[in-house]
Amino acid sequence: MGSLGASATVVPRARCALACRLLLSLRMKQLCGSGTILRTGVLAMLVATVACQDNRAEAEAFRSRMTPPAPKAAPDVTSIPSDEALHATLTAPPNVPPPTQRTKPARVVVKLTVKEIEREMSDGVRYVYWTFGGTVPGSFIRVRQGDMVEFHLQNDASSTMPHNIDLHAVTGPGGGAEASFTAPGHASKFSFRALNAGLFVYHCATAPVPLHVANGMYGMILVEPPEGLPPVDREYYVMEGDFYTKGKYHAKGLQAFDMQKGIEARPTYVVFNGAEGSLLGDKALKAYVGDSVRIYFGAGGPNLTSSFHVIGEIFDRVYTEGGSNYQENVQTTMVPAGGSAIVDFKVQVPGSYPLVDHSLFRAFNQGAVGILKVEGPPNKLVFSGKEEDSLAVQEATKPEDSLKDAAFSNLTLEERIAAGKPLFMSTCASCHQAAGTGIGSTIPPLAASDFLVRNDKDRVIEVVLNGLSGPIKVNGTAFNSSMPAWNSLSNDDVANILSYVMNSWGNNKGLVSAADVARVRQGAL
Amino acid sequence: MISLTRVFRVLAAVSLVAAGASAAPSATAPPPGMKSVGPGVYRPLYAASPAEREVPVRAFYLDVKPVTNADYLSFVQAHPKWRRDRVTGLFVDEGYLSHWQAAESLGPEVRPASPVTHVSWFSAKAYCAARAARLPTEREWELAALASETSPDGSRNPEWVARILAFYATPANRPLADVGKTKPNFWGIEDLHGLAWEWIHDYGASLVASDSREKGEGQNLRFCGASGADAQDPADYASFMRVAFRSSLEASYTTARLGFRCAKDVRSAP
Amino acid sequence: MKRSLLGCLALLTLIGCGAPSTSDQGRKSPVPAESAVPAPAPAVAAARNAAVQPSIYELSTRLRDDTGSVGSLDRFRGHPVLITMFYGSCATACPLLTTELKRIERQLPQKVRDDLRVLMVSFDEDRDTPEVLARLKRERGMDGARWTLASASDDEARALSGVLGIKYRKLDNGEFFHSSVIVLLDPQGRPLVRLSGVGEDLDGVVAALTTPSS
Repeated sequence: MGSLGASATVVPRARCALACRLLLSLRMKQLCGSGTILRTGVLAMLVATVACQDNRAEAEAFRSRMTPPAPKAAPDVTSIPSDEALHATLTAPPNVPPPTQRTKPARVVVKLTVKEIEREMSDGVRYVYWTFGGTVPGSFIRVRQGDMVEFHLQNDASSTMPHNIDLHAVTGPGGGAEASFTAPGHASKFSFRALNAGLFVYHCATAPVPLHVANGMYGMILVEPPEGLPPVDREYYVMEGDFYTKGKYHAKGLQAFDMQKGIEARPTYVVFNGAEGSLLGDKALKAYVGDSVRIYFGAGGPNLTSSFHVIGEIFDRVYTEGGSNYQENVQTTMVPAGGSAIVDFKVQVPGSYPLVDHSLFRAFNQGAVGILKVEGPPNKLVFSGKEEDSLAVQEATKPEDSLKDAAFSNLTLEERIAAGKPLFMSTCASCHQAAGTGIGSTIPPLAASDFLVRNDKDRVIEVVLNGLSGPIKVNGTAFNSSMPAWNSLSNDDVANILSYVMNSWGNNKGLVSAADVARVRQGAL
Repeated sequence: MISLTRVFRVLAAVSLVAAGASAAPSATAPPPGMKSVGPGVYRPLYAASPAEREVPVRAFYLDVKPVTNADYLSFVQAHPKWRRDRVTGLFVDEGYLSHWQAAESLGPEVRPASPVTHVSWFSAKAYCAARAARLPTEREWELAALASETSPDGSRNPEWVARILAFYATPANRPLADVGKTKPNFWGIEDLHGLAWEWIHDYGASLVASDSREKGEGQNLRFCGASGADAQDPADYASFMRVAFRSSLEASYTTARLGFRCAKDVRSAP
Repeated sequence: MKRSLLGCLALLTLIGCGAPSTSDQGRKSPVPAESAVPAPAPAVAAARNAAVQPSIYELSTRLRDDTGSVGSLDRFRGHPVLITMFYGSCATACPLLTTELKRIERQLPQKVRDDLRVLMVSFDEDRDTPEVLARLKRERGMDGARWTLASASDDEARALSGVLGIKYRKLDNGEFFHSSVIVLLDPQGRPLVRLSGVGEDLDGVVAALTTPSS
C-alpha cells in the first residue's frame, strides 16, 4: 500500500478507500496466483493511483478548508531590542493612546500605580475603588507585537492591600501576577515579550481575586499587529463591570462591598467605566458625521458577560474577542468576562447613540448605558427622522349604537370654550399642535385659518365627524392628507372642541352647540 | 510542636535593648495592659496538612490594645538606636516612622493614641523585647481574632461574620482612629479587626503563592511543599486578605496601615 | 574593564529585575505616598540599592554548626559567602539547593573557589543537631573545609530568614514549607546576588564572584 498509503492521508476517504479495497481484494487473489488477476491487479493499482492523484487537487482544497491557516511568522524572541527604551503613554478612559506607528519591536517601559480611591459610583452613592492608575478601568496601555515590555507596578503607600497584575497579553506564569506581587508602599518590576497581537484585559490577581476585580482592578492592553490596525478617526476605551454593594441600587452614602451578592452574581450596579453616568451628559463620547469610530471594549467582570450593542448603529467590523480576525455587519457582540472586542463603525447621521449591554435590565435599571453623541448635518438619505405623526386611523363605533346622541347640554360659549380646550389638547393637538399651527404642509393650521372662514359651521362640523381627505388649500398652502373621522366623540364633545377652536388664535366664529352637531350628524345619515 | 516557653533573645546587634527578663510577670496574673487568651482551637484558612485543619493553641498573654504612637515614641526615646535617623537599613525601609514629624516627636498630625504604623518586623520585635515580651505567632493572633464579644469562636455567628467582613470591605482611607474605641472581644482584647494590620512573629509562614490561583502546581521547586493548597473556607474573605497581606511582606517593610501588639508566654505549668 | 562592566550589568539585571517569579522578589523599593516622585530608572535604582545594601552581619545570629561549636553569623567575614536556609529532613528542594551550590562552585576557577565559603543554616534546630548535620555533610559530599552546616534557634532563624527574604512555615509534623533562595554575600556580608528557586541562570553569581570588584 506504499505510495497509496502516503496519499491516502490527504484524499477524502471515500474514493481512496474504494480503490484500496479493490486493490486489497486483488492482492488477495494475486497471492493465490493468476495471470489475468495479476494484470487486472496492476491495472487496478494504476487506476487507484491515478484516481487518488486526481483527487489530490480536491484534497488540497479540502484540507485548506478544514485545517487552520498556518500561523503568521512569530516575532523574533532571540534578542531584546537594543535601542533605547521607550516610555509608554498611558491614558485614562475613555481615551486611547495614539497608534505606535512603529515598524519594529522596541523595549517599552510601562509604569502603573495602584491606588485605592473613594469616589462616586452614582449620584450620592460612594464606593472605594481599587484602581490601576487612579481610574476604573485602569490606564490603557498600547504596545506593538514583539515589544519587550518592562513593567513597573507600584502600590501606593496609602493602600491597605497588596496588589499585583495579570495581563492577558503575557505568556508566562500567572500573566505576571507572581512577579508583580507588591505590598503597600512598595514597587515591583518584571518584563515580558508581547508575543501575540490583540486586545487583552489585565486585572489584579491577589487573593481573594474576585474581590480585587469587583472593586475595579481591571483595564486593557492593546498589542498592535505589526502592520497596525486600520486607521480610524476616533478611538475610545470602554469597559463594563459589575459591582456589588450592601445597599440597594441608588441607596445613598458610602457603600461596602457585598460578598454574598458577588458569589451569587447578583450585581447592584452594572456600569461602563466604573460609574453610572461616566459616558453621559458632558462626558458622552463624541464624533462627527462621517467619522469612522472604533471602540476598544472590554468586560472587566468579575462575573458578567456583556451583550454589547450601540443603539442605532451596526458594527461594520467586530474583531471578536479582541483577536485578529473580524466579523462584519454585527448588531450585538458577546464579550466574555475577562475578554474584549474591537468594534469599528462609521457614523452617518447626527444624534445620540446609546451604548448598552443588551441584557436590558442591566441597561435600564443598573446603569449599563453610555452615549455616543454624533454632531453634524442631517442625512436624509440614510435616515429621515420622523416624517409623519398621525394617529392610527380608528373608524369607531356606529353612531346609532352609542349614547352619543343622548340628551345634550345647553352650555354657554364660555363654558364650551373652557371645556373644549382640554379636549382639544388631548384629541387634536397631537396633529394640529397646541397653538393650532399645524405642521408644515402635512397638517393644516387652525389658527387664523381661512378654511374656517370660507366654510360654514356645518361644513366644519362635518369635517370633524366624517374626516377629510384629498387636496385642499389652507392659508395659501396646499395640503393632501387624511384626517380621520371623529364620529365617536359625543355631540357635546364636538361642540366644545369646535367652540374652542373657532374662538381661539384669531378665529372668531361664535358658538357651536351640541344641537348643531346633532343636526349635522342626523343629516349625514 | 513549637515550644513556646523558650526565652527570646535580644534581636538587635547592639545590646542597647534592655533584656527585661528580670521583669517577668507572675505566672497567675497577666502583666498590666495584657490579658490571657486561650487555650483554644482555630481553623487555618490554609491547612498546611490534613492534620492541621484544626489547630490547638495554648494559653498566652496578649496586649489588650495595639501599640500606639505614644508608646512607640517612649521606646524610641529610651532606645535611640531605633530612631528613624539612626537605625540601620537592614532592619527597616525608607518608610520607617515617616509619618512622624521628626525622629523624636510625633507632630500635630499624628494621633498619640492611634496605632503606631510604618514600623518593620525588626522594630516591632525590638519594641516587644524591650518589654520582655515578643510578637504573637500567627496561631495566637488568629485565635484571639476568632472571638466575638461573647464567644471564643465568632464564626458560628453570622452577624459577627458579616460585621468582620464589613470591616475589611470598608475603606481605610482616613487616618487611623484611636485604639480602644470598640468593644473588647471575649478575651478582653480590642481592635483586632478594623483598625490596622498587625505584625506577627511568623509572618513569613504565610507562604501562599503570590499568584494564589496556581493552587500549588509546580511549586515544589520554589517552595518545598505545596503551599498553594485550597482554602478551607473560600468565603472567608477576611482571612484571605490577612494571609495575602502577610505574604506580601518582608521583614524590613513598613506600611501605612501595619502596626503590631505584643504577646508573652504564660509561665504557669501547662 | 569590559568584563567588570559585564559583571556589573549582570549584577544589576539580576538585582534590578528579579526575573524569577515568586513572592520573594529580590528588590522591592518603598514608594512614598501621594506626592510620589517618579521612580528612578531601573538601572539607577538597582545601582542605588546595590550600593547601600547593608551587611547582614549586623544580625548577631548565633549559629551552632556541624562541629558543635557555637558562633556568630559573621564567621566567614573576609570571604565571599553563599548562604541559604534549609532543613535536614527535606527530601525535595534542599538536595536541589545543594546541587545548585555545587553547580556554582564548578563554574569557578580554583582560586576563587578556594576563597568561597558556603553556609547552610537549618531552621530545624531540634532535629538538625551537630551530629545530624555532620552526617548530611558527609552523605552529600560537601567540601568539609569550606562548607558549613549550622542551625539557629526559632527566633534567630526567623530574623535571618527575614534578612535573606526567605519564607518558611514549620508544620506540626516537623516538616517545613520554605522558599528556596541562595544569596551571595560579599566579604563584608552585603548581599550581592539573590537566586530564587532552583535551576535558575547562574551567570550573575559566577560573574559577581569572578570579576574583580571595582
